[in-house]
Amino acid sequence: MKFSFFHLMPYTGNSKATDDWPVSNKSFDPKLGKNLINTYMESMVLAEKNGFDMVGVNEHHMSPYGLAANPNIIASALISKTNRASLAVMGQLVPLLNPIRVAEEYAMLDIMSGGRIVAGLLRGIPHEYVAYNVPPDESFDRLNEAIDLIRKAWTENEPFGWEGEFYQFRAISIWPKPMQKPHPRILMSGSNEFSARNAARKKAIFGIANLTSLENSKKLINAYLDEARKCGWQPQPTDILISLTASIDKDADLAKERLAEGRRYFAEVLGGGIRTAQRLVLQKSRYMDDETKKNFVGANKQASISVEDLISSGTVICGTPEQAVAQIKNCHRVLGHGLTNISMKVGNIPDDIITSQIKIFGKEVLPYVKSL
Amino acid sequence: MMSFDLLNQQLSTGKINYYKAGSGPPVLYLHSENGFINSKVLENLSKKFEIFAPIIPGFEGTENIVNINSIEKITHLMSNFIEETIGVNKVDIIGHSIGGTIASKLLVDFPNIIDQIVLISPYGFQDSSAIKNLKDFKSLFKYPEKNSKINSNLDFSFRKNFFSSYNIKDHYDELLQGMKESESLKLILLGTDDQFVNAEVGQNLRGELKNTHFIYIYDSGNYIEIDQPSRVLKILEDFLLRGEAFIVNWEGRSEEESPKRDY
Repeated sequence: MKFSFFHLMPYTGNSKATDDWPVSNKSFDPKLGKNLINTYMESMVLAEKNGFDMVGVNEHHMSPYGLAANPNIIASALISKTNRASLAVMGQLVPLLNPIRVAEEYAMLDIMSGGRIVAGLLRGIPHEYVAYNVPPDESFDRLNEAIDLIRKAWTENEPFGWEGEFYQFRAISIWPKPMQKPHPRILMSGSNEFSARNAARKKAIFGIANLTSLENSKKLINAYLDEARKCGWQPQPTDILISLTASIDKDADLAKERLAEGRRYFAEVLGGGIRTAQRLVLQKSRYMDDETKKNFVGANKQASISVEDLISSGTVICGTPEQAVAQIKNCHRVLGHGLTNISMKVGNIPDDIITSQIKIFGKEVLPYVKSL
Repeated sequence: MMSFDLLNQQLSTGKINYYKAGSGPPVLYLHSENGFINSKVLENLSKKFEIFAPIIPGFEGTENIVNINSIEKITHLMSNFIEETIGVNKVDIIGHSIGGTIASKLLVDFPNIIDQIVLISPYGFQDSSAIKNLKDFKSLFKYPEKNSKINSNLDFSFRKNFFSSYNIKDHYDELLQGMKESESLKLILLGTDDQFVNAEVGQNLRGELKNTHFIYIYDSGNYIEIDQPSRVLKILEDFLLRGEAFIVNWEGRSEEESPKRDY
């Protein structure tokens, strides 16, 4: 089992809940912003030092939910601060962006890092489409066309053009090309069967970021594996990434309390604005088909689930290091994945606690689950 | 929509039937081994160009011409067609599949009468046995239903005889070597989902030839004109109207102010 340390990079200077979209930036404190980003990067560097195989950065827009509007900037800054860990860019919401720019930036990062990039090519969550004024109805088609184009841009040895539905380029020849051949591994995510199958068709790592239940995740993984077989390839366990929130302490009750408070802050303060935009997109567009929409577990519903219920369902790591080991093993037993993406910074959990958790994880959890 | 007239002319090498539509600079369109399709692309191109689409003898019930029994001789026939029917010094050519082979051969054998050239899914620059022995015509299309909707007169009945009548072979090395001398502006178009012509064909032509562009038509099979007509039309119009400046985005200007090619 390989482990990734993921950071949402939230802005934690606000204390008031808001449902406004976009979230007003009037209260943004630049000094705090600088300190937070630096602290978050220090956490990621510490994660590498404590045995994590990968660090994950992400992309979100126009809210305190996340400060990494362009995850490639964070990844770039991390290149010289790390030397071993893969850098997983769990962003680059390609339907919002120029795919050639995405291909170029990833190639630059891959060259600069000596081939340590895992290239997320993601659809994103609904509110991003309001932020960048891109039709949500087109999100899947834009994503699929952009991925095909990016792959060509990375791999073609002669200049070429592209005449597509959303993207037209008459002459493409990117410099540099990526270090990894034929190209960096592509990471896609999804919370429904359609996305799982789509990731398999694109021969991508399939990430489940929104773990609503182990049973549902197993269904998605089975769909991914089934579609991959139909497409003539066999995913390895490390092609399946499961994201888990983690709160670990020698005192299990304290770990639970911290996670509960972090989740409350996340839901009320960080997530309010995006929920408004998300609701509008889901209600007023065809971002999801009716079946997917019916089964969609939104942020509101997620926030209402207690920490105890999350633990019971096996969708969180919470408790003592020994309990964390057991929880990771259980999750692996059910899902058979080979890549776990750990998110410790939930809401406003203090950063010194995150530092402590990273060290505990490295010493008291990782040695017992690496061989899974 | 503009319709094509079916005409014929006695050339010095024999009688030839051809379709003609539109007005403007002349463009020679050479159909594939499946016959001529009066596609939306050609219909719309004829609003700006005078399209000449000769029928390769044997297709659409036309008589074979005595002694025209090879690609070389079809090429010679087409050079006569350019000089005697179109009556211009130089012409642009679009060739689909085997039409691309003939267009390429024209470029090599009669370089002085060829201006710009477009090769759509060109035949024969790789092992072409799959397309030669094609059994399922649907596989030529990403969206075969689009073909059934158009007023198609695909002449599949002659395609088998065609390959034997004209002794069609793959010609990669010989033809490619000849094309290397050409200074003409060239455009290669391939569908991203073409099951017969590999991407390597476009890449190799782009890499080996001078003044050559290679463009993928996204979400299309071999018949890019049927699968993605608006995308193909846009590229063809720009390429034919603007020459080497077709790579410049001129959106926002009127057609009158748009960059034009120097004829």
